[in-house]
Amino acid sequence: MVEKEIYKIFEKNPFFKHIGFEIVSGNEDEILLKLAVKKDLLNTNNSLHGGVHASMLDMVQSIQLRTIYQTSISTVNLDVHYFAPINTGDLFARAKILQQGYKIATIESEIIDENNQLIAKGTGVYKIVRQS
Amino acid sequence: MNLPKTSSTFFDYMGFRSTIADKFELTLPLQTHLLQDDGTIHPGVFSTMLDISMGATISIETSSFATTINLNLSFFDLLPKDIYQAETKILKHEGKYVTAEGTIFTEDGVLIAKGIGTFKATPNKQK
Repeated sequence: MVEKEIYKIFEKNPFFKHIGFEIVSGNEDEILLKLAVKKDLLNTNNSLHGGVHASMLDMVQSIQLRTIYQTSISTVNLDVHYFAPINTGDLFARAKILQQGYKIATIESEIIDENNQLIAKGTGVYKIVRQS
Repeated sequence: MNLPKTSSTFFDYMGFRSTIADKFELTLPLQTHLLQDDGTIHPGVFSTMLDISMGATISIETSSFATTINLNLSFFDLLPKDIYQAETKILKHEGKYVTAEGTIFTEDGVLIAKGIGTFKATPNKQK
């Protein structure tokens, strides 16, 4: 799937737009997802809400899998480790496939900031939705 | 009892509602911005809901600010429903570290998602 097709799919994704994600580059080998941290995404402690990290990790993992499998997928499990708080600047996320099965895939991802500091890391298990 | 502030800008931005009576109760009505292009709810929505439910419950019950260290989440049904509810049970509180489990279900009691989280509880400063 080429970069333009990925953009087209996610332009129609209301949650993707609501949070403010951007696909910087994308192909079957690697998707680079960007998020500019804005006030709407902060918690009462003035740092990025934990739900945003989880959303970003799931999003980059989902896009990577949909690019590879070219079919719908569904999240079964998501494990998130939080390493550092952040409240400004740009975040970047990448994913790496760990196990590419016929009906189930396992994938890991990480979020880094502009200074290459590790902010969060995640692992996800996904069901590959097939017609037969 | 002084209750900690439980809503944040992200809380409002996502459209959550909460009440604090005997315990912290969190609800989320279905809204367009929660959906993905295939019509299902994004799992990040339920991740956020479980993080808020567990974090706020810990904050209230321990009079502290809860910082998330780890979340492990399982999703059972991503098809949209009218309204979601979340509840939390604290499993273990030892020193600064608290482990809790959160559950999301519909008004009819259908299980939607479940999570276990580990949080660091930093006591609120006394005024």
